[in-house]
Amino acid sequence: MSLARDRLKQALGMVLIVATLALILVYFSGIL
Amino acid sequence: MSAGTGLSFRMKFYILENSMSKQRTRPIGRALNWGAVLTLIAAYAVGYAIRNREILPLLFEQAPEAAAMDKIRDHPLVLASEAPGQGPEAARYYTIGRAQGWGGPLSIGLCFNEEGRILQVLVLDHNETLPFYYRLEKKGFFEQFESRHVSEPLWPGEDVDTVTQATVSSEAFTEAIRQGSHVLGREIFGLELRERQPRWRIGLNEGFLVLLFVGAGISFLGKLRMVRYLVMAAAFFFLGFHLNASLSIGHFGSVLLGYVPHVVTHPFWWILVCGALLAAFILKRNLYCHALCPFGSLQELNSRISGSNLPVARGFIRVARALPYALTWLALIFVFLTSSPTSGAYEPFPTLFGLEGMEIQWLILASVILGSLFIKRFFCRFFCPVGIVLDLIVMARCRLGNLRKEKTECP
Repeated sequence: MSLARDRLKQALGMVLIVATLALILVYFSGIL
Repeated sequence: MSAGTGLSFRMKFYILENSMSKQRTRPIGRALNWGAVLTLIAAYAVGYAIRNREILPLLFEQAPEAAAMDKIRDHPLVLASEAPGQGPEAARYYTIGRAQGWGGPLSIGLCFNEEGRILQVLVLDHNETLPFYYRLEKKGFFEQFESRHVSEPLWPGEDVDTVTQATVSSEAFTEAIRQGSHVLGREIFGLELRERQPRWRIGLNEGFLVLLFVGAGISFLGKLRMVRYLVMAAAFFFLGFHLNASLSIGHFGSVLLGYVPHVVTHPFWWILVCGALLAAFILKRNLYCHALCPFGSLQELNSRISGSNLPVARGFIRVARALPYALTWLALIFVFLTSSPTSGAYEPFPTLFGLEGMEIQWLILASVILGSLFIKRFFCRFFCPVGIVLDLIVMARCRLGNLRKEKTECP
């Protein structure tokens, strides 16, 4: 259960990072 | 960012790498580094080749009738025409004025009537951060110049209203408009218009900024946590909401492109940029990120409020660690190719503190604020280009110290 919770936390962290990165790349593509 | 030592996450990783007994060769890493440097040089060269583009076509785009006008003077440009059969009262003049703004050079086209009154102000080219520029438009800054005469001084604070939180941009546009107006006054109307010499603009803002740097230095050298928190709070309100003057990749882009404002008229810019760079070089610590960055302060506050610090998967952390380097490289590529320092400024600082921005900038801000509730210093660790530049200076300084075998402050 604890392992599953840790995995979930890690996944949430990754999602936040990837989502922000995607938005920044959209910003750059808008400049193009 | 460590509370007491001023060591960023990247610095800790660098220290770990250097503490190993033998440095492993990492050909892929070296190849990537060289590739990044060479592509940046290529982008700079391409941008330089197209940087000195003609402004005239930009004027003709917005004012097609100017293309048929006679050129009275080249630098600054003055065009004149008189519609045939309509007499001198149909005379029209166009001029172009230029100045150095916050983000780089800007150019203004002005249309005058036969009396020397401004009919239209055309923004031909600028490099101002978009939220600041939108603020000027929203506040009707350019409209105040319509019907102004070539004999008027057009001096900020006297007969020109500047826009709060966009003062530097206001003054730069005013300077360009004054230049374009006065050149017509001298050339066509024979007026004797003397340009004022710039005076030093040292005021409370500059003094307070110096105090903040001193406070940050004291908090770092004395390892005084409470002083650091005090400086962070002061910087959050002063650099953040009051002046909206956070350090950005656009500042470093300006330096690299040679778009450096005059120190007499923009001492604040000089104190901010040189203060951060010198602190990194002399103290061998990233003082700005440690205690002065208002956005970093907000993120620390968020993570303290939430009490959460999500772990990042081990396999992913290697990729995540390279992210800010890749984004800094990408930002600088855009800066060099467009010759516009603000084009690579993807940080959400002006959006938050100026409450102005495009939709995508608001989305980035929301994502970062959400992320900072769950991961400590979320933007700093994975996205911020300012931290990368300052940390690279610290690393380079430490390496220089090691080469010279000097007693180094680097751990």
